Amino acid sequence: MAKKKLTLAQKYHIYTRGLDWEPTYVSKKDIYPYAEYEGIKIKDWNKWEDPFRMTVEAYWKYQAEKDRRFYAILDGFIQNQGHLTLSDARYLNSIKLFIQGVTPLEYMAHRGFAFVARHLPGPGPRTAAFFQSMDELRHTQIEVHAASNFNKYYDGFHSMTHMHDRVWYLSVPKSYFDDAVTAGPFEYITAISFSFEYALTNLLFVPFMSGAAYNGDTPTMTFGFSAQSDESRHMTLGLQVVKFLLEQHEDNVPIIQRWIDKWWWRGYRLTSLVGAMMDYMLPKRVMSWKESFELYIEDQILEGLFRDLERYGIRPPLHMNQSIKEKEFLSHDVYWILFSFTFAAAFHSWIPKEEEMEWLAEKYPRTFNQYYRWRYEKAKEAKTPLPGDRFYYIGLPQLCQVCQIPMGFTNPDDPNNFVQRYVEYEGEIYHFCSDGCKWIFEQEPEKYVQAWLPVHEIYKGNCFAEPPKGPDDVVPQVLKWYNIQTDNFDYFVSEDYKNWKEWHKDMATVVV
Amino acid sequence: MPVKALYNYKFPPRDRAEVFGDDILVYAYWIDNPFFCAASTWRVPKNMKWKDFIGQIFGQLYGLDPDFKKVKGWKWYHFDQEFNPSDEKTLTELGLRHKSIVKFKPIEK
Repeated sequence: MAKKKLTLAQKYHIYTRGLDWEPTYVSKKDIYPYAEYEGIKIKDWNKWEDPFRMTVEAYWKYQAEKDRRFYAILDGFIQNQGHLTLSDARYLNSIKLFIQGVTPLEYMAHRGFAFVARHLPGPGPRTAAFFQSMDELRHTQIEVHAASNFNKYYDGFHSMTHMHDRVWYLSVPKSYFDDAVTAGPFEYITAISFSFEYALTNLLFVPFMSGAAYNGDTPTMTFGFSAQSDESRHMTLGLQVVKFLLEQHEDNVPIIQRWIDKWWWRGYRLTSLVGAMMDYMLPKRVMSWKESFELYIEDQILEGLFRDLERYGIRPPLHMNQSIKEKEFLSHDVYWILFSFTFAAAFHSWIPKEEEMEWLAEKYPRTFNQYYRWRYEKAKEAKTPLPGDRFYYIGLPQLCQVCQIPMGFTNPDDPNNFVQRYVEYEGEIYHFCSDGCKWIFEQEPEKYVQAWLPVHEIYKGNCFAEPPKGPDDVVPQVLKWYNIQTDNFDYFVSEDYKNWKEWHKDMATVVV
Repeated sequence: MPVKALYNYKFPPRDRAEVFGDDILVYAYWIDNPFFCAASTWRVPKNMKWKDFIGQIFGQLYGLDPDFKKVKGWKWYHFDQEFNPSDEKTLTELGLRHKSIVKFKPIEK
């Protein structure tokens, strides 16, 4: 009788498990020292179902094909001076935020998944994490290549990794990922694969890539297409990880729930930067933050995913209701913060034009005209000695100890004030922007008391290129340490704007 | 709930009071005025006089608001407790400590 042929799933199972062996002269505990201390219990790694079947050979072929397409399009864009046909140079400020804030996280994700691929005792998830580790490194590289062309013509692209480690608003994404990679392998994979890749990726990725398409940025759009197939693998891995852990042991349920509670709020606070970008920085807008939040989070994640997880005893994240209550305030709060501190940022901001204010009022009928429009009117009067005919916040803000964002999140129940929370822990006071961040601190205070808060570091004298010669020299020395050159201040006094006008003076393109 | 770790996980707080020596960090917040996108942070000597402290924060930052000059007087809070600071007292004498927040709003009419 002929041997029965193996199914694809069986073949893959054997192929990946075949990379594993039972150690004989070293104990498993010594090989996988991080496997138990988080309290996660695994009865049988063989119950792991591969969320996708990718072999190394297929991976190279497939990725090489996608790369060829991407680099062909990038070359065409460069040769045709594609940057001149962007909707407007203001658009690039969202890409500056992306390259400074997100791209270094892709690299950190590469490291994080390499760690997981080494330290999980199960060969199935180790293989999956290994592929994702390679994906993340490729994404870093491709994003850098896409942005390097813009670096020839525009400010804000020249020093992404240096800035990521130093600049105040970039400590937000940096501290988020540092929090994840300093956790154990199970928390890391729940945080990044599930909470970020599964629950939040659409909120980050779709607006960026459609924003690129709407605003004429073909390289970023093509990168988006190229990464999409990787992202869908990442999402299926995230879901499989969480289901597997929940099915393995009932003791895992409260641990996973706590991680979901924590990482929902960490990730949600991080994506508030995307909200500001969507609603304010795209000259041609795709959809509002609120619409995007309703579609991806309220409809898909709350009504879909968390209904599905109910049978495991998992409920929606603890502070989800606050996120819903904030949805008509969040993007406005964050852009107002970015706007206020643009004198110390490696991107530009501007007062929205009248038709943009109308769009904002239409999308946010209960909040924009009531609580935000007047600030921009006032900003025209409240001038400072700095370049740009408008207001800057001449001082340093109070930062949240956990998310590190300036504490400017509106209290929806008292919309003229921000949420302010604090706790005293071992004789020291800590301040928070929200109940979510306060709750996270209280879970692991020993971790967050060590936070590197940019404002406090400046006051400790740790952020100067050279000691300031006087009060007026403080900000310049910080900017020098950040390597911010002509990248800051209002868009309408920027080199970007001057050049853009110059390049378009003989062209029919409408310049704002 | 403590951090789960493979070793004794205990480190001194990075911004503890002693790091700042004779200075403290004080936060300031103008109630009901979100024109300032968040409370502000100041590093000031513990024995700075109250009048010098408000001179600094009003002079550098809050005076930028065109409505500032219309204000006749201020009502003060230390955290959420109302208090009446007198000009000549020092921050320590007034009960302020490292990472205190002082809040203020215009006196009505």
